[in-house]
Amino acid sequence: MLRWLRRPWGIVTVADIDRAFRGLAPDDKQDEVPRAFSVLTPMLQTEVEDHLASKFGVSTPQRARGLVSRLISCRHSLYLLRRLTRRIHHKRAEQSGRWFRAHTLIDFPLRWVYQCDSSSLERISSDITELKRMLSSGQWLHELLAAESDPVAPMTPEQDLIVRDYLDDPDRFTSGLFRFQEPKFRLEEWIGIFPPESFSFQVRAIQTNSAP
Amino acid sequence: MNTPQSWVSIWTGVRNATPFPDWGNVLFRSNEISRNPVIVSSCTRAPKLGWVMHGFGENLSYSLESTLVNCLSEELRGDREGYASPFLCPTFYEMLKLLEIWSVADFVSQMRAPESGEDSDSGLSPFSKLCGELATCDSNLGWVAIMEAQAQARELLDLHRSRFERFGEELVFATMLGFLIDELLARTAVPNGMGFGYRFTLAVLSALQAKLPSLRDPVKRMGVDIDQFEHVIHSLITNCQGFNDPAAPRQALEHGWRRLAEGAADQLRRVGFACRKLKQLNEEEANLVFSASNAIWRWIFFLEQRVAFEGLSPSLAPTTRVARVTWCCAGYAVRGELLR
Repeated sequence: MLRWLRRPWGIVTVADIDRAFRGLAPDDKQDEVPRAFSVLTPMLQTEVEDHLASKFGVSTPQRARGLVSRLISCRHSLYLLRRLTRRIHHKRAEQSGRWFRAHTLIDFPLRWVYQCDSSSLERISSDITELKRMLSSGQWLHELLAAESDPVAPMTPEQDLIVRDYLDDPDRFTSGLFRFQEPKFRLEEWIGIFPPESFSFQVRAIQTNSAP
Repeated sequence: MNTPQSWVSIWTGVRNATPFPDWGNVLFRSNEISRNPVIVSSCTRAPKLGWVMHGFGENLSYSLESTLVNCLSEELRGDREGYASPFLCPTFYEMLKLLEIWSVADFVSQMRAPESGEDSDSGLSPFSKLCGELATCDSNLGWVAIMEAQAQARELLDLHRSRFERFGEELVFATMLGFLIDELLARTAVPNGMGFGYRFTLAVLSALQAKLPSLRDPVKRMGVDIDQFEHVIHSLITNCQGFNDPAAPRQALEHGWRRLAEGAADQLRRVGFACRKLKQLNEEEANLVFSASNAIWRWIFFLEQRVAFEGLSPSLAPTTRVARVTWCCAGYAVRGELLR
C-alpha cells in the first residue's frame, strides 16, 4: 500500500480523484483539481516521507514511514470492517419481549393493506408519513379486525394480548418501539427498498409467463 | 411484457399455492398497486402467515414491511436471534466515522508526539479489537463491541484533543491523505483495480516514442542517458506488443523487467516535473510524459497484484475466495481488452 501511495497515479485516475474529492471543499466546481485534493499535490511531486519532513517537520524518514504505515493500518481496518461485516449481533434475550411486540404489530399493517379501502392506500402512497399517523391512531387495526371477522390465521393468545395493549393506547405502545418521536427522525429517509432478489424473481416470472 | 395476460398467469400460479380470502379484491388491488409507483407489498413474512406473495410488478418501489422495520428502535431490527444487516444499524456507521476521525487525529498526534517514551499502541486498540472480533465471529460484529469501540474512540479523542486541535493544516492534510488511502484500499480487493490494459499502454508508449526526438534535449538536460532511455521505452513497447497478442503466454513479473520499468517510469516522472517547471515542455508533451509514467506504474502494479491473487490458496477465508472468483471474472475483462 505504501508503494501505491508513493505512486497513486498508477492506481487511480484523475476521474477517480475528481469523484472522491470534488465538493469536499466548497465552491470548487470550476477548479481544475478538486480543492480538497490540492493539499496533497505537493506530496505527489516528491515522496510522502520527504513531504512530511519538509512540510511538517517530521524528524526522520523512518519516523515518517512509521506514521504513514500506522494511518494505512487504521484505514485498512476500517476498510475491512466496512467490507466484511455481514451482520450485527444484538443480545436478543434482553430485548425479546419488545422485539416480539414490535414484529407482531408490524405483521398487521401488511394484512390491513389487503383489507383497507383504496383511499387509505392512496394517502400512504402520496405521503409516507401517513404511516406514522396511522400507527398512532390505531383506527386501521379496528378496521382490519372488523374485516377479518373470520381470519385465515387466528391470533394466538400472545398476539391477542399485544393487540389489546396496542389498542388501549396506540401512541404509548408505538413510542416505546418506534423512533417516530426522535427529534431528528424523518420517516421519508427510512423507506425500505423492495429486496432486489425478489424483484428479479418477479421479472423472471413475468418473462416466463408472457413468452409466446 | 407486462400484459394483463401475464399478470393473470402469475396470479394463477400464486393462487394455486396460497389460500387468501378475497382473490378478486387482491387482484384488483394488485393491479392498482402495480400502476402506482409508490405502493407496495412485499409480504416476505408470508410463510409465517400462511400465504406467499412476492410483490406485484415492475413498478414496486418500496416495501411497507421493511419501511416499518427501519422505523423501529435500532436494537429491535433484525431477526429473532438478534442478527441484523449492517445497513439496519446506523450506530455501526457512526462508529466507523468516529474511528475515521480518530485515525486522522492519531496521525497528527503522533506527528507531534515526543519520539519515544510513550505508549502509542492504545490508539490502535479499537481497530484491532473490532477486526479481531470480526475474524473470530464469522464476520459478525457484536453490538457491545461496537459500543465499546465508539466509547473508546471518544475517550481517545478527548484525551489527545489538546495535542491535535491546534494543528489545522496538519489535520486537513491528514484527512485528505486518509481519503486517498481509502481510494487506494478500495482497489486492493478488486483484481485489476488499477484498470491496466496492454492496448492502452501500448498506445501511450508508442505516442511517447513518436515524440522522443523532440524530447531528446530536455531529457538530456536532466542528466538522463537518452539512448539508454530510448532503448528501454522501445523494449517496453516490444513487451506490450508481445503480450497484447491473445495467443501469447501470460506475462510473468520478472525482477529484471520490474527494475527496468520502475526506473523508466520514475525517470519520466522526474523529467515531467522538472521540464514543466522550467517550461521546457508544453502542456500536451508534459501530459504525455506523465501518462506514460503512470501507464508503466499501472502495468507494474497490475503484475504485482496478479501475483498476489494467483498466490491465494483455495482454503483461505471466504472473502478472499470471493476475491479469487472476482479475479476470474476480471480475467475476461483483461482478455477482452487484449482481443480488441
